[in-house]
Formats: sequence, C-alpha cells, structure tokens
Amino acid sequence: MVLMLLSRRAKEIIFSVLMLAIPVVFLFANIKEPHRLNALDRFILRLSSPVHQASVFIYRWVDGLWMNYIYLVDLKAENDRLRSENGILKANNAILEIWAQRGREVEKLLGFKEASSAEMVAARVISKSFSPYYRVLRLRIDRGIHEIKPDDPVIIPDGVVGKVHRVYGGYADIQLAIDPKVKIPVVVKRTGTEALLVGTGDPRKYTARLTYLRREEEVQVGDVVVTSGMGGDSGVRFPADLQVGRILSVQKKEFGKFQDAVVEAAVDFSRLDKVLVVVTPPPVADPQSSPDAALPKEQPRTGLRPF
Amino acid sequence: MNRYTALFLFTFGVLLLEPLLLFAVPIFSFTVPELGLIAVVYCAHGVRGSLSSGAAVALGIGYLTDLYSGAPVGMHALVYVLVYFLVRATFGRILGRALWLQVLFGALPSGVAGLLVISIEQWLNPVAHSWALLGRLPWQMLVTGLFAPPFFWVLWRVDRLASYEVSSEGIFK
Repeated sequence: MVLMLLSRRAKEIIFSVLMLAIPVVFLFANIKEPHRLNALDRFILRLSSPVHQASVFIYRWVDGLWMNYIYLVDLKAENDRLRSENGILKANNAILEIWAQRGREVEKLLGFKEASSAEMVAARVISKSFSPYYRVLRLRIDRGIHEIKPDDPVIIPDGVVGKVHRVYGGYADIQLAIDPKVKIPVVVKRTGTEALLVGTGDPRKYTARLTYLRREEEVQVGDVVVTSGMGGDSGVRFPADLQVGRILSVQKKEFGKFQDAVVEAAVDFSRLDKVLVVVTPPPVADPQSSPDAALPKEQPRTGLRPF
Repeated sequence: MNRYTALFLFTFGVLLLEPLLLFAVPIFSFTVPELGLIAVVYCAHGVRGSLSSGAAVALGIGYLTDLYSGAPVGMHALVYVLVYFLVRATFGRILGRALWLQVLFGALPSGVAGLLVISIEQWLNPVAHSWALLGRLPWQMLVTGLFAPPFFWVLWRVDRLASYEVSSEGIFK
C-alpha cells in the first residue's frame, strides 16, 4: 500500500538498495560459525535452502546429461578417428583403466564402510575452493541437512579429510583437517604417543602441527600419525587408527614440557572426489577389556588412556 | 518473455555448461573467462530497462556463481550487484561500437570485480593470503576481455529473441 503511493523513482531506489542489502545479509549469515547463528541468520539460510537444492539438482542433471550423452558422443567421434589410425586398442585400454581405477576406488570405499563399526554416508565432492597456491581450502559435498550434521567427521579409507562445517539444504561445507580451527586427538603409531593435531593453515602445503607432544617422547621424521578415536573439539570423534599423515619435521625445545612436530597430511585433498561422512562414530573401546592395553609401547595403542 | 528473464536463464545455462566446456582446454585450468560478469555488464549497459530489475539479474547471476564456485554465498552476488551499478553509472555515457571498446567493457569490470572479491576474501579469511591472487588478475582481465565481444553478441541475439523491439542499444550492436 505504501509502495503504491511512492513515485517510480523512489521505488527504484528502494529496490536497488534492497538488491545490495540482500547479498550482504546472505554473506554475513554464511560466514558465521554455526553456533553463532541468530534467528534471522537461520531464517535466511532456511529460506535459501530450496534454491540451493534446486541448483544442485539442476547441476547434477546437466552433469549427468553431459557425461552420459554429449561426452560419449565426443568419445565415439574420437574412437572413429582412432580406429582409422588403428589406435582404438590404446584408447579402449585407457578408458578401461580409468573405469577400473574408479571401480577399485568405489570398492575400497565400500569395503572400508562395511568393515567399520561406524555408521557412514558416502558423498560426492561437488566443488572445491582453492588457495592462491592451488591448495584446496574447503570442500563442498552433495549431502544435506537430512543426512548429515555439523561436526560429523569426514574420512576416506586412506585417512582423515576433515569435519562437516555447515550443512544447508542439499549440500554441506567441509573444513579440512589442515584448517587451524580443526583439532583432532591423534597417536604417533610407532611410539603410542598421544597429541592433538591442529592445522597450520599454510596455503602452500597440506600440513598440521602436533601440539601437547611430550618432550621426552622420541618421535622421528617419517613416523605415521593416526587418529586416537577419542573426542576432539565440539565433540568430533573420528574412528580410531585412521591415518592422518607422516611427521615431516620435529623441533625439540631446550626447555618446557612439549616439543613441536609438523605433520604432512596423508590425504591429497586436490584429488578427492568421493568421501565418507561418519554420522555415528564407533563405540569407544574399553581400556580394561581392550587387548591394546597389554601391548608394549612399540605397538600402536589406541582408545581411552590417561594423557 | 521478459528480456531480463531471458538473459538470466541463458546465463544460468552458460554457467552450468561453462566448467564442462572449458574443462578440455588446458589454458583454462589457470584462469577462466567470467561469463556471468559479462552478462551483468550487458544487462547494465545493453538493456535500458528498470534499474532494480537489472540489479536483481546481477544478484541472481552472482548467487549462482557463488553456488557453483564454492565461494561463501553472497560474495559474488554482492560484487556483481556493485559492478552492475558501477557500469550503469559510468559506462552508460560511453558511446561507440568499436571492438576494442567491447574488450574494455569486459576487462575493466572483471578487474574491478576481481579486486572486490579478493578484498572481501582477505577480510573474511586473513590467513588465506588472498592478496597473492592479485598476480592473476591481469590474466583474468585479459581472458574475460577477449571473450567479451563474442559473448556480448550471443547475449544480444538472445535479447533479440526475447524482444523484437531490441534494435540498437549500448555498444553491442
């Protein structure tokens, strides 16, 4: 009613200001940590959820159309040309090799999922955000609000990927294990030394630091670091014995209780296309009944143990 | 169909197909033309319609760019709306249809948008060293500038399909 009384120019100005205000509000709602969202932010995110879902659906449809039709048409033309040059066998071998590799990856993923006592959901990486040095900073996966929740661990059989940061509609943002805001309780496999892994946030390398690593522990460059299976920040609990990385450097201090170590991530984040989200972590091992408790120090020890 | 609606739907399709089409060209693994931004510039200069409708198209294209690029939702949306107003306020006074002018109409807004995106990214995430991306900005401007004239022409054709009244507006035809 009020709008009808305004002149056309005034309406234009009001709508233009609105067009500027909308993205600002969206941006602020999106960059906030999930626990700091207020009612307005949650309303805005809920409002945009159907649009996100529709966009992801359309993208998948076009991607499927491309991969199942247009791309295959191109392949056929390419194969015809290669046949005339007697090179079809090489082309076929290359294609089969790719599919075999993909099959092995899926088999590995499924095998790992079946073998684990944790409940997991497989997800596809739909976009990656890169640093200026071509390192992956964030991942976005195609699982949404009805399947996963913030802080769920994200893994692959080769190691730890990170944790779910935000979930909207049909997709979710993943915070990588190398992010400074992610903290994961880990164990140095050779010595059984416990520590807390914190990302360095280095945009050039996929590295993290081992904090609270006791100075008297003899860790070495090349030692494998695995998850301890204990709860980290925000209640994130990764399955135990999952590889996190290898120690890249150790810096022993002259004084103090702890030493510093840098770990290189086991997972190549730039090559990720499928991940597993742990929706229900495996039950915590009982240290009294665990056979690990009787193992000597040289063997890997996981589960609950006084720090 | 409304001209703005037609342009938005066409750009949406282009944004969906862009990564698939450019995937095969090795040079685009380094930098890709900002076709969404070129569409925003076209809406700002080539369509003499309502200011707020054009801004809404810029907002929509920016929003989709955010969704498909993995950027925080709202970042490109804000930058594209700002670029829309900037182009509308400044380039509107420029007349002429030279090819180099069209290249300039692609390259300059690309530079401005790049600067804005880098600044916002750096402000949001100071540890990400986003300023290092400034080195890629000239390439981004060059590629977007080179893609601008053919894409402006395609947009003009789409625009004309949507409305027969489109004859000659702005620098594009």
